[in-house]
Amino acid sequence: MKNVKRFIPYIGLFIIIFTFSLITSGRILRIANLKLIFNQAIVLMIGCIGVTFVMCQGSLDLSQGSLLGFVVAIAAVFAARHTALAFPFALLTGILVGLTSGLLFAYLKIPSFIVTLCMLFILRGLTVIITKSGSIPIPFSMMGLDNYALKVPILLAIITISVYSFNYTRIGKHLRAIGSGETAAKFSGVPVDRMKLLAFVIAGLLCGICGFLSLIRTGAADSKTGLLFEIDILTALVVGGMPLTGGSNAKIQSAIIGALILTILTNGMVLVGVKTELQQTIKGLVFLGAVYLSFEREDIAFIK
Amino acid sequence: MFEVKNISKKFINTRALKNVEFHLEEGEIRGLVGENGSGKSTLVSIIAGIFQADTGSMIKDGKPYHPKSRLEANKEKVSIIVQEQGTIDGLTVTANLFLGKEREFTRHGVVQTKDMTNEAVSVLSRYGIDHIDPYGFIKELSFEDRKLLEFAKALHVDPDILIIDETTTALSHGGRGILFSELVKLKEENKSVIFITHDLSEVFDYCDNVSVMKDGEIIGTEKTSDIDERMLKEMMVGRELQHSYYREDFETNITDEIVIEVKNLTHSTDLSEVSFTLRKGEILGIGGLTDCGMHTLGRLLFGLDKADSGEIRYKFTNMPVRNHIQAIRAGIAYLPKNRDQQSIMLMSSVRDNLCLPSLEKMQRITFISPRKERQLAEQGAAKLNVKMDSIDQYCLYLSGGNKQKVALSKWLIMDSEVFILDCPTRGIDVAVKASIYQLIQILKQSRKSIIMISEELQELIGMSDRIIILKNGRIKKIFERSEHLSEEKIIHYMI
Repeated sequence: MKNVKRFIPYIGLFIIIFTFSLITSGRILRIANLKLIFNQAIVLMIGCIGVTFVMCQGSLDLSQGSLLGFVVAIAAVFAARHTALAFPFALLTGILVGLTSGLLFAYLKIPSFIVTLCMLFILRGLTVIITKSGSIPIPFSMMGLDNYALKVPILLAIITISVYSFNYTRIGKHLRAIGSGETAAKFSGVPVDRMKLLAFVIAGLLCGICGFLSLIRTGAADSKTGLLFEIDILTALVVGGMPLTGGSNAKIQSAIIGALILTILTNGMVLVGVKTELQQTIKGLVFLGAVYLSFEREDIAFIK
Repeated sequence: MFEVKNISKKFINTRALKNVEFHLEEGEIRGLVGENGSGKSTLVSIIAGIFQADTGSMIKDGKPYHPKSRLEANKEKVSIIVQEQGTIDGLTVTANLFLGKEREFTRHGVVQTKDMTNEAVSVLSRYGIDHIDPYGFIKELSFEDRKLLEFAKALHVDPDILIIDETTTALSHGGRGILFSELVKLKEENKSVIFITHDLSEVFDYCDNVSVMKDGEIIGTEKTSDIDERMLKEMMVGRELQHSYYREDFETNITDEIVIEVKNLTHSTDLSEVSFTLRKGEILGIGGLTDCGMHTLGRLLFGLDKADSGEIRYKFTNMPVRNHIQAIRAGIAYLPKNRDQQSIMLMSSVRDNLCLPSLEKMQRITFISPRKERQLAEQGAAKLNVKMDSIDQYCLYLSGGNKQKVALSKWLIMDSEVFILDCPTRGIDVAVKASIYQLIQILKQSRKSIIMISEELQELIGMSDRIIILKNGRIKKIFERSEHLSEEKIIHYMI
């Protein structure tokens, strides 16, 4: 049974592609639409990968949406001075916010749920102030960066590095150990606090990249940029098979598959012409179904 | 008076009970012993309504008895103290005591908290544990007090049959005293007790009869007056025991080389002015009552806590040891007392558990080879003969003894120099105990140094080159290894 569960996300992805191919008589698989899916999925996927590092050690990150908005706003402000400043400041902002959340969580021992919930409000508030409740456009020349020659290598590099560090280095192994049993991990030599901090810095850094990619695509920072992004990330991760408790079953694949499922589902529903209101409802049902099918109830009962 | 007929129970992959027959007389205290995973807990869980049997039946006082929950069992006057924690952290002592019985205190649809608390006070004092505050929260209580509270809760049901599942390991001498005096009272009232323990001397001291379980079956029931401890052990293991359960030699045979030197170590109220040395190739036993400070000493030596004053010199290494991470790097292994929370990640594979401390040594620049991990894990599991399906199996599904083997093995493959073992044989069966004692001897022979913190005097006497007895945080007495050392001689210095 366990082995079947592991493949549920893949089966789900296949079913969604297959169903929409039938309904749209193949339109979903046309090159133009695949490009659209790529552009829609890339930001979500990178965000999901970042949060994987946080969730695998048993924490939550609810601040991603507001962080994305904040990064985009800061980057837009600096882009107005010089276009070359946008990328480094996007990264820096992501890292600093991740560092702050991580310090509050790991060293002041405030639960991650609370820390990132507060960050959600703080950063959204700051974003509204920076954008003066409106939007900040970026120089037109920057929009040219929104091309596949830049975005495909970035995504591939992020996937490669994160799969490597997650599966083949101490970072991933230590983080999953914390998720499996914090005290036992500590007593076996895992520097628990430092690793927790690192997880949030990684999530912040990747959200910084998300912010930059999202800015060059939309061409402006808006006070509403990134709204509900954190919910999309959590949904995608759980649909992709990420255990809510973290631990040894966490995988980077969950981020990739989950982001694809969510993006293709949304894209397909638009193609078919499902009303926006109904789309939300369907997303909710899919989420519920995914949790029902893949949740390890038995194991949870054991953990208590 | 109580009968279990032909009961079987299967879990997902394993058959836990096979056609078990069990009779219990009124006024009988029945010991139930067997290796970890032999089915003792499953059997009593079925009797107590926690699990339901797949097949078979039970009869109590001539009537069919098939409880669907613990509360239903309580109504039929059967109660249990479970092996794991049976209390709920976020609730008060009173709320825990009357969990599921709130209706008895309800008037006009409202639970009368005051009545409940009054009743709690009288229950606590009736069983001699009135130092527990009825308003206090469970998480503020020590593990022992939680267990005693569960005991009071189980007795409050006024049970015809009381089941105690391996509870005494969690209790100090005082706590055990309370427990055993209540058992004697129950017997006088013609009530029955099923008593699971790994401490065989308790079986002979308190039980009328003892049943031995192995692989989900009861393989024999004997009067305790008819057999001795050795015969019982042999029944449990299913073969004749070799003589070498403990060490047999009485030459200490230690080098003069000092490995760790402790000077005037003082830590809050737990330890004061403790000084001693550990030498290369020595097994140093540390004993005393649970709260004598010996567990704190283990934590301090491993670098988990900072001492208030005094110093620990790690002479076997040039590396600094200021915290537990540096301690591990320098070659100190630590086996904590609380296995499932502190030394094993239950929801991780045997491989992940075994390799965790060695990851740093294993990596090339940053890369950790999965092949190397697998090799190391397989070596580690083989060293102590861990019984498992594969190294990918979750530790959750291993028996207690095998989990302990994993917890020890991860330090063996680290090739540590100093082993700090806090209650290494707590709650594990005779066979695994024997293999752990054997391992400790092998470590000694290969010139490793071992600090064995233990609440069991027998194993301290049986294994140690020297025994330090702590009392109220001070060194009360140091015993050298000798044939003439007995529990009576030592216990005098503990209390």
